[in-house]
This record gives sequence, structure tokens and C-alpha cells, in this order.
Amino acid sequence: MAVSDYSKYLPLSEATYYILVVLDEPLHGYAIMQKVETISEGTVVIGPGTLYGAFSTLEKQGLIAMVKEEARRKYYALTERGRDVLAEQVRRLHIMVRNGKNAAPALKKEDAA
Amino acid sequence: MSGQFVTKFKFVWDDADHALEDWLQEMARQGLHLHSVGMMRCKFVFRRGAPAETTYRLDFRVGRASPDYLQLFADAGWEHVDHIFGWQFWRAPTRSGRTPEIFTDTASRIRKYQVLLWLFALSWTPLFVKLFFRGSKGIWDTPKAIAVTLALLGFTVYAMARLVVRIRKLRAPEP
Repeated sequence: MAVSDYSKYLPLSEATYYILVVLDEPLHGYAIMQKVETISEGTVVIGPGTLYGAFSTLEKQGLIAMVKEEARRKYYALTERGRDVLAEQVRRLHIMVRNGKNAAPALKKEDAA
Repeated sequence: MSGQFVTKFKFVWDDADHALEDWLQEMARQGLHLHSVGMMRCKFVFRRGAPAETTYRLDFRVGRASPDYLQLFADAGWEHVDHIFGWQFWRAPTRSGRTPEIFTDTASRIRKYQVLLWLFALSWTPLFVKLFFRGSKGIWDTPKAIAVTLALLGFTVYAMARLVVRIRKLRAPEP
């Protein structure tokens, strides 16, 4: 079922955004922390307290679901709604990036790198 | 061996979580590593060892800490030292000056302090209930008892207010 009101979920915080991005495949907590740090090139580091709280919030919102529990570790994955919300966030980010580039070409930091 | 453990008493008010973290870190620098916490969170037992740069962090949980919660922190390199009244004592080595954190964004810090506020309220509820029930005459009997009761009430309300202010400041950072 498609989400009718995205304003309940969006915009996602940086941490939440990355948690959803990596939960494209089922992962447990520590694997999420490592993967987020890697793919964000060290710009986003998520502590265990923050992550644990995010699990319960996202589970309550129905964006992620626990898929299995193994050796005291819970594995989570995106739900249908989670995918939908993430896709909408990505669409909005694209618009934001395009506008940012148009409005401030002198600020293109990534071109210099 | 008598010198292996050192016991210190320290009264810690309910909103002094960060002061407590700093104090434990200072103790670790002197080679005293927290071993257990007891007696209404006033008694701290330390094990003597080599001085170390250690980061202590508190988390708060209403109810018992679940296995997956403990496992997640352990995976991330945190050692669970002890817990008392929902206060979870975590520590991790401070490596190359980088302080590890268990809470890494404002939203989750706000939630942490909200849980602390709940624990705070829960721990003081028995006293408040006692105050307004018969059979607790002792509390209002003499001027001295009344003064003690009012002082306790005042401090509690003051500490709770400080926590509320802390949460509000995080919610709306100054421009």
C-alpha cells in the first residue's frame, strides 16, 4: 500500500536515512553501524544507543521489521512502506541537489576533490 | 589482597549524569576502574589497575536491559560495567584522543534524557505518595522534619526542572 502522507516520515534524519539505505538487505545492529560508516565515507557514525532507539522508532512506524534473531542479535530489513518512504526521500534529495548546484555553482566542493 | 578494591562514596543527584561520567573517567586516569555501583547509587567500588584513558557513558532504561540491547553495545566495543535503577554504566577505551559516543545525534539524546526524566519520576513517586498519605506522620511532625521534607521536595523539583530545560535547549538550539 502506498503511503498517502509522507510528511509523517519526511525529512529523514541523516542517521535514519542511512539506516534505511543499508537495510535493503537484512542486517544486525553492528553490521549496520559499520556499513553506514563505510558508505558515508565516514561522514555518518551511528552509536549503539542512537541505533537501538532508532530500531524501536522505525519498527513502530512500520518502516523496518525484524526478520530473525540469532545469538542475541536482531536482524532487520526494510518493509514495503519503508521502501516507499525511502524512494520518496531519494526523489526529494535529487531535487534538492539539482537546485543547490544551480543556485550555487561556486560551492561545488565535490568537483575540487 | 586488601589493596585490590577501593570504595568511594559519592552522592550523585539525578541530573548529574555527565558529572558522574567525567568523575569516573578521572578515576580511571588514576588507575581506579569502576567495578560495581551500589547503595542507592552512592557507593562506587573500583578495582586498582594501570591508569587508562577510558570513556564512561550512561544510558537509561526503564525495566530490564534486553539481551539484544546488551549485545549491540558489546559488538560496538562497549563494556557493560553495572546497572542500578535503570542507569546503565558503559565504558570503552579512548583511542588516539577520539572519544567514543553511544549517542550520536540530537534526537536520540533528547530521547535518552526523556527516559532519565521518567526514571527520575518513578524513583521519587514513593516519597510523594508517602507525603500525602496518613500513617506517614513522621514527615510532618516536627519543624525539623518539615524542613527536611520541603528541602527534598524543593531539590527534586529543581533537578527535574533542570532536566526539562536541558531537553528544551536540545529541541530548539539557539540561532
